[in-house]
Amino acid sequence: MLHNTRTADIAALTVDGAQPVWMTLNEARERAFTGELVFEADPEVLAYLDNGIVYYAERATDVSLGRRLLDAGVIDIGQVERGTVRVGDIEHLGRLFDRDPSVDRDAVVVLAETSTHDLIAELANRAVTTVRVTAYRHHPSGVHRWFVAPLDAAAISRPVITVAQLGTAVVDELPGLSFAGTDADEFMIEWDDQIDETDPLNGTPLNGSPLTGPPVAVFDEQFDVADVEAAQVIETVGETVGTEPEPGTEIDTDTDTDEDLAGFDFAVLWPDGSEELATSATNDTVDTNHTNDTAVTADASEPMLVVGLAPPGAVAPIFTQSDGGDLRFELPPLTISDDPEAADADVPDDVAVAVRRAIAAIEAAMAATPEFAPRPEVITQLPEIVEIAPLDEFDSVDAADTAWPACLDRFAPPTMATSAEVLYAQMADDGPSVDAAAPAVAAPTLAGSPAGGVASVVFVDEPVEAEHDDGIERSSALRRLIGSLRRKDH
Amino acid sequence: MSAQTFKILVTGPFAAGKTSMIQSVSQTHVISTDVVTSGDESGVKSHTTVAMDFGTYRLHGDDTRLLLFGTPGQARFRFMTNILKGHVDVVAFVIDAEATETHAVAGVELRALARDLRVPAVIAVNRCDDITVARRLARSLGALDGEAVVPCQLIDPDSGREVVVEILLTLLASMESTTAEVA
Repeated sequence: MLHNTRTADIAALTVDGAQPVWMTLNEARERAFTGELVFEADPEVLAYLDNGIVYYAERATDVSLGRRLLDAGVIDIGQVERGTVRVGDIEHLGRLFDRDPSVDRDAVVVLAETSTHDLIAELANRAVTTVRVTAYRHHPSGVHRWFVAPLDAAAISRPVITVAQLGTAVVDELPGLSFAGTDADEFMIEWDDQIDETDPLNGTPLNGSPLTGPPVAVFDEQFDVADVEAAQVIETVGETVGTEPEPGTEIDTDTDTDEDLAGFDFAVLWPDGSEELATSATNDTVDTNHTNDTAVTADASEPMLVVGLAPPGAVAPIFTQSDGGDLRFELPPLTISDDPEAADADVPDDVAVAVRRAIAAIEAAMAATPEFAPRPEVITQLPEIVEIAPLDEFDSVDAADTAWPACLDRFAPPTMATSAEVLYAQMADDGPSVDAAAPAVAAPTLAGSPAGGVASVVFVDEPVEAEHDDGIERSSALRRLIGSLRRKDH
Repeated sequence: MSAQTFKILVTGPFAAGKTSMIQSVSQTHVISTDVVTSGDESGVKSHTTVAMDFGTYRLHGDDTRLLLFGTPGQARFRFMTNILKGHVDVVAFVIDAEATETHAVAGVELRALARDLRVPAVIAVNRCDDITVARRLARSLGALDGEAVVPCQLIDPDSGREVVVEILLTLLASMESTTAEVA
């Protein structure tokens, strides 16, 4: 029986009296024991269990596990080196498969299982008097990790730090906002506008206490985070008009712009100098968020005030208040430059040079290609269409006035040698192209020759034949190309 | 006999071997837009294509020419592939079998390429000698059943030429099948 023979602070157990090893292992399995059993045989046998199951056993005199794996040939020295974690005297193989994926995990595990099985089978029927038991002690090589899967692999492989991280970038980039003290019991937002907290029915405060003191936080009730991130308020007072604001002049950044701008007429001044008075409908489309952020309010006595809002790098419209009190904004004229250097301003020099070099070379190569050169010989000069004479007038046609192709050799009774197919093939062989021969053949045919079959060959069948020939020629060229490349292989 | 020009687009992920393939057959100096790599890519190779590679092959005494266009491998230059793929006769998609970290991106690119491709395509699996492995890899990345797959070692110019021959044979088969359909 396994029982505690020592004090509770020493987790070592012993077996009293000799009993077969299998009985000890059986009791350990029944108790779902996890830890080390040392059977004091000769030599000592160390067995390691997890939840009552022996996962590894060895004699005390055995060489190290790494050496045994090497000797068995299931791993090589390089894999051992890569797979071993050395910390002081500890050589830990528990991460062997993680550190070197080339290791044949099945072979390694089978070898360990086989040697364990053989040793336990050999020892099972032997009676051992003393067994030292140490709970939760595992083999120092870390082999425990090979056999015992983590309870929740997903949870272990996914560090908590990567599960949820609040992005602080947006918050960090917000303009300086003053918040209520963090020691408050609950987070409060205090508005710069006084909120009417009176009961609309009887005019008394809703919370029953009078409103107190000025607010501590100043920001709009609504704002677009993207706009706030991108916004770059350009204050160019004086730069545009050459007038410094007088000391003491306060640029009011309050958001109540509607009232301040109520008396102004808006006009759009286009780059070409034309002016367009903004209508009330146009005013309605203005993004209230932007107008609030822009906050163009200054003492009306100031001659000019220019305040703009634009994303970084963008061309900002410039708001201008003229002497007459009109408020205008104008866009700087767009400039389009053909200068390649200007176009490549944002491109690294080496990339731009490389691209230009490639384009120039390709254009040069393409220009030299006959395929892209003008090919006037392809353009077919269609013959004039002559009205076909009635059948009974055929005999009156003067054959001598027509330009017969040489291959026809004047009119003769049709034979197999003068069939359309044969003539066409002959002309194709004689002439530079079918197209060039076409007018000479077509004209007399349309003029009323009884051998009209020739004309039909030219006008009806020519496109299909040419396409077919082109396909054949292209296939032939491709075959020659393949043959040439293949010859280079040898 | 009229001039005939055949155009091959060589595309695929970063450092798959596209430039090597073009260099293996080009008779002219390959017009390369290589620049020094930066960032993480510099750990893979020192130079990379930023716009395109361009190589030519011409038959002696003939107007038949082969033009090879190589696209940059980085995803930020993917528009080049989209521009060029409609103006070539055949597309070669090069994959490095051993660069497993590129396979996910390669699969996305391959499927995007095949989606509206109007010309035949060939999958060249670089650093692979086994046709079975090459086919399995190509299919796993989204290659269609009818697409040709060629294992190759593009570091060897002979292997590169064999791939080009296979590409042209695929083109020839496509042309002949088209001709047969028309007839």
